[in-house]
Amino acid sequence: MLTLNVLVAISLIYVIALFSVAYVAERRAAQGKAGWLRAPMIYTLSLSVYCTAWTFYGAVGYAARSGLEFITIYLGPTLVFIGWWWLLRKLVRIGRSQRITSIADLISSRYGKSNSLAVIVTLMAVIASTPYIALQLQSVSLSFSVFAPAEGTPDALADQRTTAMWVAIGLAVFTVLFGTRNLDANERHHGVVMAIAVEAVVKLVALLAVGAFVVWGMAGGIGPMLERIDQSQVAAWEVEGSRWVGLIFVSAAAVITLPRMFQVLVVENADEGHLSTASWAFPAYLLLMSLFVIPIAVMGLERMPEGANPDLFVLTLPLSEDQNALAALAFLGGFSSATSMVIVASIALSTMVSNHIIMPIWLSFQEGGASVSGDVRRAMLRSRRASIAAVMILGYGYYALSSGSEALAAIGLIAFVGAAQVLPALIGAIFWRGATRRGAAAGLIAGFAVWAYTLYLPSFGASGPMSAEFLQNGPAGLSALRPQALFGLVGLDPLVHALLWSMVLNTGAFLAVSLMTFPSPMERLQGAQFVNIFEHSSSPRSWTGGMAEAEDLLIMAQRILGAREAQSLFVTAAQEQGKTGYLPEPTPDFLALLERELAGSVGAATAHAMISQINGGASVSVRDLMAVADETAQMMEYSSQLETKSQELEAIAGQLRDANEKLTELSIQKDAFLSQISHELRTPMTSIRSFSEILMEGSLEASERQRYSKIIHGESIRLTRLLDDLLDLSVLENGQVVLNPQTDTLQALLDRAVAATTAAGQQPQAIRIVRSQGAETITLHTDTDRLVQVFINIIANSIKYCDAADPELRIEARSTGEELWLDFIDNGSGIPPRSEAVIFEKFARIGDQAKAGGAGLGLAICREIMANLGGSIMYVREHQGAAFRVTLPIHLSQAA
Amino acid sequence: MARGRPPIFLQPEPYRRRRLVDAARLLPVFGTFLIIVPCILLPRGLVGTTASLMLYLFLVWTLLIIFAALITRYIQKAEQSGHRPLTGDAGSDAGEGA
Repeated sequence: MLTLNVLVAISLIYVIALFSVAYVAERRAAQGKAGWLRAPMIYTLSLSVYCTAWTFYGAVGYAARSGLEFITIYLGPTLVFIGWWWLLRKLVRIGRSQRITSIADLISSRYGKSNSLAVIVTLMAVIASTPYIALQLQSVSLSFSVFAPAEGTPDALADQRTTAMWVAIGLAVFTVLFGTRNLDANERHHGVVMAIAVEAVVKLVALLAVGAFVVWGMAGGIGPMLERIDQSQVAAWEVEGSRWVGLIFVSAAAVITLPRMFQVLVVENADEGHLSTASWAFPAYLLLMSLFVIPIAVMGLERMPEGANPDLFVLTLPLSEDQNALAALAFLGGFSSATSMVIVASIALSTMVSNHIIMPIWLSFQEGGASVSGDVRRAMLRSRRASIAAVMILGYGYYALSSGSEALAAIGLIAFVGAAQVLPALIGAIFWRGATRRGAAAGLIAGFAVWAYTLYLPSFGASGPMSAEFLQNGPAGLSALRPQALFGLVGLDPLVHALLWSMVLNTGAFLAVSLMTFPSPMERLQGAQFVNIFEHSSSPRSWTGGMAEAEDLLIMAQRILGAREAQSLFVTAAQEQGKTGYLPEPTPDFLALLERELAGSVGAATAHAMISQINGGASVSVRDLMAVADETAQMMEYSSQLETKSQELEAIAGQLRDANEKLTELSIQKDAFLSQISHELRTPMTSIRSFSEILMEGSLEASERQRYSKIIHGESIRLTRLLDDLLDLSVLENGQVVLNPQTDTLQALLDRAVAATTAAGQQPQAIRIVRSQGAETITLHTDTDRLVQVFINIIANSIKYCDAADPELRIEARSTGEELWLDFIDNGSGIPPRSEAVIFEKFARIGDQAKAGGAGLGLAICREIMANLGGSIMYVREHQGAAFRVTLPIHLSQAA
Repeated sequence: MARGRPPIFLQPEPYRRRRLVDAARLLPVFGTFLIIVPCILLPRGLVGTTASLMLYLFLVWTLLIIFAALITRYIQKAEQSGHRPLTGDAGSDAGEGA
């Protein structure tokens, strides 16, 4: 016989093994070697928390009492998982992309992040789950008591309570150790998941072993077993349609909405692909778990003494056959079922209680809010741990208060119906954008109230809050409000009755209030996010595997921002985070900063895409990103090169345009010059020809002949002078002039010029020339003949054009030592401003052609001479009359 | 008659994949029908003994699991054959599972 001490030792060894498994898993995950920890099979096995001690022991008891009906509890989840394409896939995607931490968080998040909804769901979950946790504690203590020699003594109950207490304490320690390691409730609890996966294997193996022993060891094969089944009292069971459908529905709902199932199904999901494996593997697990339930029940009823607890057949049947090892295995299976449920349920509940009840209250008590993040972190962990302890104490308290009562045995299905009340709000949340917060709250409260009134409170029996009289006649004799025959619906099974009314009223209130109320902007936003999740999230994000390495980010940033800028950005960020070295943590703040910096270089959209890809996208490798970054850098370089080139081109185009304009101008000038030349040549030639024709006719008087010959002579001279001028100008312009430098004083040169102009003497009126004799003593070394030619031209111009009544020309000389400045200023009306630009051009004559009497080449020649002498001539505007300034070096440099 | 009109162009893989998703969606509907109908629609006498009902249910169950596994496998194959899912709802990048 297996003694209690041996059993305790086995349990302890098993517990230590579980702790080690969890520890190793955590270690490996922390070292980044989580590969096989994230296998789809581990995920599938972790889903087995659905199979609690209520399944392990209770299913057989259920079968012994109600035949095949127990199977509905597994068929419902099977349909949900096989139909994962309808609901679970969307639920998991939402859970991952919205970083959902619990079912309360999901409901709250969808309906505008309303904390009041989260509180409602949390309270419902705690109320429905606490008895369920108590049930697990009871099953463990009961299974211990099977081995206890003191069975039946007055101490038995106290012993059971002690056992339950130690189990509760041990589970609390385990859960605190491995369930609150990280602040992020979203992060996977690798240790817990691994331990649960191991427990899933143990309970499956245990049940299969007991079943195989029963079928082949005791019944003698499958055929005889089937015969026994039909002869057994189990076969007296008849299918009851309403319960059959109702139980399949409620178990299908519960597998999604039970807090612990939501925890492993959605929150602990590491990869969406795992769900596709679980879609068939988890139903297979359930099938194996229920395969031998009926045979064990049948054999138990046949072999065990009258009055034996059918809930313990799995354990007592091997014991009665003296199969101690098998019994120990069965015990471990039951132990595993109970503990895994309690661990996951307390993690799920503590997350909900801590996030939605304790933390909001704590934060509201904090004066001025939580300014230091470390504060909140510690408070979060503490509150999560306290919540775990509180959940465990609640469970144990419930067990201690109600142990021995029948209430606990039925609590499994009651909890299922309670959990199912979240279903309408959940389905509405992910499929109906019109669902509102008020609608969800109304549905939840209505459903929960009806559940409590018609199922939960009556389940405590007559000793509970509802007396037998109350149950029989309704409150204050109102028969319409009888808890188990609400609104006169008599004759239904109480469970189906409660399920029907609660779901009808729940869904009705949810739909009606949703239709009548108006959602807040936040609700609309979240609603769109949830309902159209597959349009918003193109690829599943991985929270644990795909975090951007700061180094990768640095490499990428360097290629875009440039090495020095990127490094200084990273170093600054690292220092702000209080880290030494140059790699900061890729926190959201830092990523936002980096994104802004990158956006300055590559544009906001690209920067966002790059950061979000490197940060969360598992589908794009870092190498791909590098390629993108390289391309971008090349493109930026190329575009800056292009910019430079285009600037150059623009400058060249401008130059070309200028040159073109100049050429056009020159062409026009050339045409004008040619026509001018022909005109200038033609005029004297015409008079010469006409007068020579007259002379040829003869018969002229001598005086006339004399006059005509004189005209011809004068015109010839003018023609010659014009040709001389042209030749002169051409030589000067081509720079082919040969200068003949001589030394003379300015005074002498001016004297020559004045003499030449006045000696020519045919001018009708003379001009008074005012000279500053003192300044004219400068000695010049230049081509004096050319210079005198310039002076003559200027003075002649003044004589010709000065329109003053008393014409006067002042000649002022100044010397800077190197240069001579010589101003010729007359007192006439000067040159009109619009003509200033053209006076130095060839054939430019202002005013009366006849008066000018020249070809208009004078000033053009002057300009060329001065340029050849290394000086310049220009028109000075400041004076009242016409003023020309001649500038030239005192010593002609040979180079000029 | 072989040279009739050319067949309407359809990308085979995405089309096959969508039909597989249809099958995946239909499977639980058939399952529900097979599990519920014998127990509530048929007269009590036709249901048979507990043992035969048990065998029937386990048979349906097993077939559902096998079909679910096959469909999932084919969907994954269709996804891995290089064609990205066309629309958001019809696709998920679940290729790396299994």
